[in-house]
Amino acid sequence: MRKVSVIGIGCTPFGKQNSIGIIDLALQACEGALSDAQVPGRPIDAFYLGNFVSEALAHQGSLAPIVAHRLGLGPIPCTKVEGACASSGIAFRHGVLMIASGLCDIVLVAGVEKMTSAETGAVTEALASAGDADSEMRLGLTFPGTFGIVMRRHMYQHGTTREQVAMVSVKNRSNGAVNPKAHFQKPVAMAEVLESRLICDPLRLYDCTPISDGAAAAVLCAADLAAEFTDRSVDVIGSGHATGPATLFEMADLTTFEASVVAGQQAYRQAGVAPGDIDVAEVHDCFTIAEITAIEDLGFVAKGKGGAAVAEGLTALDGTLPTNPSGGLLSKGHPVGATGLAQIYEIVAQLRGDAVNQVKGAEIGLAHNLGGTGAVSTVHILKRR
Amino acid sequence: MASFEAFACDDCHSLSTRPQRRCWRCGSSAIRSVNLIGRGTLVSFTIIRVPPTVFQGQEPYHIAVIDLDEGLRITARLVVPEGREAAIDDPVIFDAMRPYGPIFRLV
Ligand SMILES: [Zn+2]
Repeated sequence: MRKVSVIGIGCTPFGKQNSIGIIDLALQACEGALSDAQVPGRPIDAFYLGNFVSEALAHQGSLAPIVAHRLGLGPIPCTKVEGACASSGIAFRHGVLMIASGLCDIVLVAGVEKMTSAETGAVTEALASAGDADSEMRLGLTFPGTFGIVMRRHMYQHGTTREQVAMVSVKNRSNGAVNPKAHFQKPVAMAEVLESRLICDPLRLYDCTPISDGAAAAVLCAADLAAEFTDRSVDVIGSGHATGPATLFEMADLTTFEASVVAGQQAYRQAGVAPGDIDVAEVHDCFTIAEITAIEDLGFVAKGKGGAAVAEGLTALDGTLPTNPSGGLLSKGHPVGATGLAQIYEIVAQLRGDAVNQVKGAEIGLAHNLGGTGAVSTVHILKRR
Repeated sequence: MASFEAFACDDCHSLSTRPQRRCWRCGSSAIRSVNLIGRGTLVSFTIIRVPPTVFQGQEPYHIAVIDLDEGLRITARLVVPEGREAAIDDPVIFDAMRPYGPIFRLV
């Protein structure tokens, strides 16, 4: 298999973007990544675009060919990739596979979502379609509800405290306060999290990521060609992609997402690194409790120790494993189909040494994307050249 | 006594609330329908206060994950009587089947 590098990245601001449609959002991120990679004019061999709910919320299908045509990419294969909130983690993975297999030399990958123009009820319903309609979502379960159930069980089973969970929001909102691309650029105090409106007990408003618009993109290239374009390439050394049950009742342990565990193990094995070798991580904090389950599932801490780890500062900017220095989904927002590539954007910036909350000397970074009720997960490990 | 339908594997005896083509655990196609009494305990639950459009007006409502004594874990609506509060490990029992799924109540 050929080795793969990231040679360019682009990302729009995340948040409420009334004046720009879904196609133009995607174009903005793609044009940013193409010009960052210094490949204008150079043929792109394939295009993968992650998106989850464009049909339901933006009334637009056929996204990948439409975006590619507007970019002038020519008659290349273009595919929309859907895996709920992990859509663009999977798009990235497909780009990696196409180059690793030798079928392509340069691949553009992107993710986009436009959510804020729809009613909250419609957004809740569209997002709930990532769950199992036959069994759980027909009951009126929602994604905040799903994570409310996980959170209550985590607190019961592992002694995790309400304050430890809230600390994830305090930390990530503090990191995001200096990120000009984040939806929220304002820190929150512990008391504000604990007193915010109840959404799905015990989950409160500030435990949740906001509904956002946004897009992110990356240009991938065969590693042996990367130096032709840029001296700032970052290598993809591990790629994992796994499936788990799409329902709570089929989870063996309500505090473990098996897809994350398996995808993480695949990525570590391929990269030849251990969790302790990771210098910086962006993990899928769609809700506060999700960051705690993620750092456990990825092996940064033992199962059940995630809450204490956050409270003790392990995942803080100056901790041994800075997690979500970008502010995470809790600050940046969660335009679902764009999230996975926005995480890659942040990790590449960290490994180039020009991130907003730069982790000093970061050499190896990890991006973890989770979709549905743990139905799908991707984990990517990147390394500075 | 109320009862509700589930699906049992004749080979490994695992249960499912869905009519699987093959057993989710052992892959056997020897699946038959069974009637469960539906006694169990709460594994976890939440109270939905921001529902999807189709359930607007019903909020707040409980949704719970329940371990049945009959060896099945399911997700269901939970009825909590006025003045009581649910807690993990509380005993619950099947109450009724609705178009949107099973309802349990605190014992
Ligand atoms: Zn079986």
